Amino acid sequence: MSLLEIRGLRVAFGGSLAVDDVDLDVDEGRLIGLIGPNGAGKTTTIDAVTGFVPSTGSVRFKDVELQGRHGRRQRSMPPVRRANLGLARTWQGADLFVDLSVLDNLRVAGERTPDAEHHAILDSLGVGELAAASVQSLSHGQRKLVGVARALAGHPALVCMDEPAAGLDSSESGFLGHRIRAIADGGTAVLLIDHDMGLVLGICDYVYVLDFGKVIARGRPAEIRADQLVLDAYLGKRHAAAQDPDPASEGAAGDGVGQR
Amino acid sequence: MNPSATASEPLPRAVRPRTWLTTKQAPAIVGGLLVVAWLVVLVTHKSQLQPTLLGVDTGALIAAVALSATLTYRGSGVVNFSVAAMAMYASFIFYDLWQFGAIFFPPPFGTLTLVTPPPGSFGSQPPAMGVWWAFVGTLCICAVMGLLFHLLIFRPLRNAPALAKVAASIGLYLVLFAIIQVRFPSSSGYSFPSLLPTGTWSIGGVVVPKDQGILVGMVVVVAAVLWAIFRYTRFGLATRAAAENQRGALILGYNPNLLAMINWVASTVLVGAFGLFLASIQTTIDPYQITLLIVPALAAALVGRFRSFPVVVIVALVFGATQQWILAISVQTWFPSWLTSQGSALQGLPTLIPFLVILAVLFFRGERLPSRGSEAALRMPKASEPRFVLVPMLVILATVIACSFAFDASWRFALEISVIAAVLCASLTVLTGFMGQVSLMQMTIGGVSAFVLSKFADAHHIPFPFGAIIAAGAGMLIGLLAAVPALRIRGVNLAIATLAAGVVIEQFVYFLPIFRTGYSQQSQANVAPPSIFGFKFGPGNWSGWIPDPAFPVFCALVLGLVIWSVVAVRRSRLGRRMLAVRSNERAAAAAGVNVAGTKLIAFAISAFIAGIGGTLFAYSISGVDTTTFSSVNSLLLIAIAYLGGIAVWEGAVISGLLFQAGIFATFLANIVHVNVNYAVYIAGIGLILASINNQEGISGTVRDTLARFGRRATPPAAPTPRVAPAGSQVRPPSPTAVGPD
Repeated sequence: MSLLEIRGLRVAFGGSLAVDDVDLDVDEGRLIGLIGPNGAGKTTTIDAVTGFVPSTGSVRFKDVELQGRHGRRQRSMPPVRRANLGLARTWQGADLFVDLSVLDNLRVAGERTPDAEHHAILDSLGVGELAAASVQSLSHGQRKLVGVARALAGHPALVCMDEPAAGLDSSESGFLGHRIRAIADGGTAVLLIDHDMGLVLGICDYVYVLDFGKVIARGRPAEIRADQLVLDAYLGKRHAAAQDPDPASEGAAGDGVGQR
Repeated sequence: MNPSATASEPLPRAVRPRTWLTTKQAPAIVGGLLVVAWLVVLVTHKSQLQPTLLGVDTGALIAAVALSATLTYRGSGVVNFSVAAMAMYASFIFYDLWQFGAIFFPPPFGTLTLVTPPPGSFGSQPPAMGVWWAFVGTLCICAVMGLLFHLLIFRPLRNAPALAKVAASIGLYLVLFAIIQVRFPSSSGYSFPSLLPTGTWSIGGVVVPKDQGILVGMVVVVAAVLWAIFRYTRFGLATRAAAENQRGALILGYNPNLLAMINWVASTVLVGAFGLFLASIQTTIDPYQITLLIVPALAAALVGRFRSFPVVVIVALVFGATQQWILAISVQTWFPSWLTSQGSALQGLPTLIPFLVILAVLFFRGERLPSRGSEAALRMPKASEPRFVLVPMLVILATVIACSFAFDASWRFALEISVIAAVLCASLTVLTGFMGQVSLMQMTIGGVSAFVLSKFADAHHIPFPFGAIIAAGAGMLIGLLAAVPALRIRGVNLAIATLAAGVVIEQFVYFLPIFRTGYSQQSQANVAPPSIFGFKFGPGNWSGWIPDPAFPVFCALVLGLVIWSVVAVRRSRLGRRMLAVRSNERAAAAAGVNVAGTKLIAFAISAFIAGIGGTLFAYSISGVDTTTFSSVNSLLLIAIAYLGGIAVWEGAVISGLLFQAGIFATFLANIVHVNVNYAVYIAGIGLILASINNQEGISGTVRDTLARFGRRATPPAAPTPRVAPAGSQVRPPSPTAVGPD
């Protein structure tokens, strides 16, 4: 029995399928990667799992069906209840609470967690000295790190990380990779989305590859590296797209269809 | 759209075939069917059709206001709450021009300078000029005003969040309203000339006055012309393009500012002309009622999504017609008697219809959480954590006590009003300051509490603290009702919904039998003075002291309690949750914050505080005065709350001084010797300026100045409060207008 078990997940925007029949498992304490070219449906998958877009299919977390008995979206569990069940996430744009200090950001997410632990989480991500700072004074990289810290503050069982390394330089990204590995080793499962193939293939236990909303490959990083389909879809034909450093373009791509 | 679509693979196939009826279309179809059914009833019942047709002129003005609001929105992304006020303003410009050949200018060009022509130039008797000359002159002035509104107010705000634009338009509303109050203090007695042909047409046994028919015809033609312009001309295309994407339009060679300016001028002239026509048909104009037509107009614009001119006009005309229709059917025997007064429907009953339409539209179109891409980047004033509270509060209390005894009657009354207004502003500190939700109905919530105090608590002899608490609790219930739509809508839409709710309360709920029992007049809703253990501290208990100095002191104690609670909320987990939701609803939900629950609590706390304020107002005059608890005062309240600093407790105290008949107004009247309505005028100007440059209000300015001063006086070691300039400077570029859609 996996911690998170996704079966037949579908998300439709207007007439097109952003996520098409995705199956995915995350076991406790494991670090699972989810990669794919721009617009492949990675963020939409996380949005669906955390309840931010309507979806059909089955999402079981801690043996609880989040999508309702019949997979009907009306019965789907709202994001806040999923969060309180231990399903945390980070955002591409960090999406911190700009009116609060860094420590208060963590306090909101982990109301029952003592402050000492919040400081420990911040320290472990190398932003301990920023606890009292205003979010508005942080750099982009610092915001992303605080975003990860906030997701951890409530002691979740699983953290979905939406491109935590986007916009970081290579040394920051490397440091973050180590920290994410440490988070998983500490017992918190992680579902990691990133553009940085090196990062994902370097630290993950198991990797899923999405293209056009479908899982086109899955396996250990070494297997993914050798997979011809992945090379075609991701590294070969659209190598340029994979190199696109702008996280916003990915968001725009997922949104372009039928939001209005 | 999808970058991967550039590759040769086929696009993902469509999964959901179009169903003939979706949840989004159903309300529109139901609404359409209702209108059709209503038309059938009208046509088959001539006794109802005739009076309904006599009310179409108001419908035509509502339609013109709605068209103007839609035009402004499409041209500049501003949901303009002051359109109806502009219609009213234009008709008074006309009146002065026509009667005296005079034009009035507001400050700062003198204290409402009235520029009159040299004597004899127009003959000695009014009217000074022909009506059509005055008409043309008025429209020219309207055009100039539209130009000025754009250049001075809304152009600087072009990249501001939608709510800042709304705040500025509310400021403009107050300014226009205040100027007319100063220039034409009495609301009646101005007789307007006929501009349109009089007489009637008889069509199939139904009589239609010519002027009303022509007015409706004109508004329909205007809508058709606007529709054609936006659909077929380059100008319309450019405006639509600029509304979608300012930068994109700029690259294509269109100047969005020029487009916005033209739309502003056109919409101001349009609404000015129709305001004039209505005044001429009805021969008189009630400045207060006309400005409130903004509610049905915005309702109509919402139904048309601020986009479709034909839909907007049809809905607005229906709203106008239902007003007279309800009066016509209220004489029927089956009409519920509790909705009538002296045989015909309560006057405010028709206000329910636009309100319900607004709720329905917003509820069915609203989204629970803003989804990816539609992030409303709302810049809110900083809600810094309060540091020193006890000492300043004691100082304030001591000042109030000293002043209560030192001041003479008029100043003491002003002091008391200011302290009570500060309580009401504190209700906005929680709701708008911490929670980021706008409510334009706070005064009317206070009004409900005041009535409950009078008609329920006092009538059942419930002793002081309990009666007031029950009354405030009733206000809280109203606030919770208002929060239900707020769970799905936010920002500009919530402002529209709460304004509509406030108007319903003011024009309808106050007149319900439960608030009227035993009295024919509102002013006879008595309230007994508060007392504990026989010690009375109402406003009129000490002989020779009116108001009783004990009363302002009592109000100040209540204010202290309220401020203490507000500070406690800010420092609590709840306060953190509120600020988390305020800055990012999605992220708050993902962090385990119950967004809906937090909003409900904020609305409840805020409405309870507003209810306390309402009961204090009732105690202060030993009765309920509905003019205090009006919608325009709700607008004034949010203006002064913004101006004082809406997100910190000090702001509420400062704001209280600025309320109508408060310390500042009395200062204007007694020391500067000008009309007290200038207080409203200044509040309006202040709100406009605050929404353009200074989000933190007066308290923020004072705090920054003190901090800068302190930093200079004492080098680094000084524990200067956290007034990091980061808040105001570092912010991402706002997206182009986040619409009310």
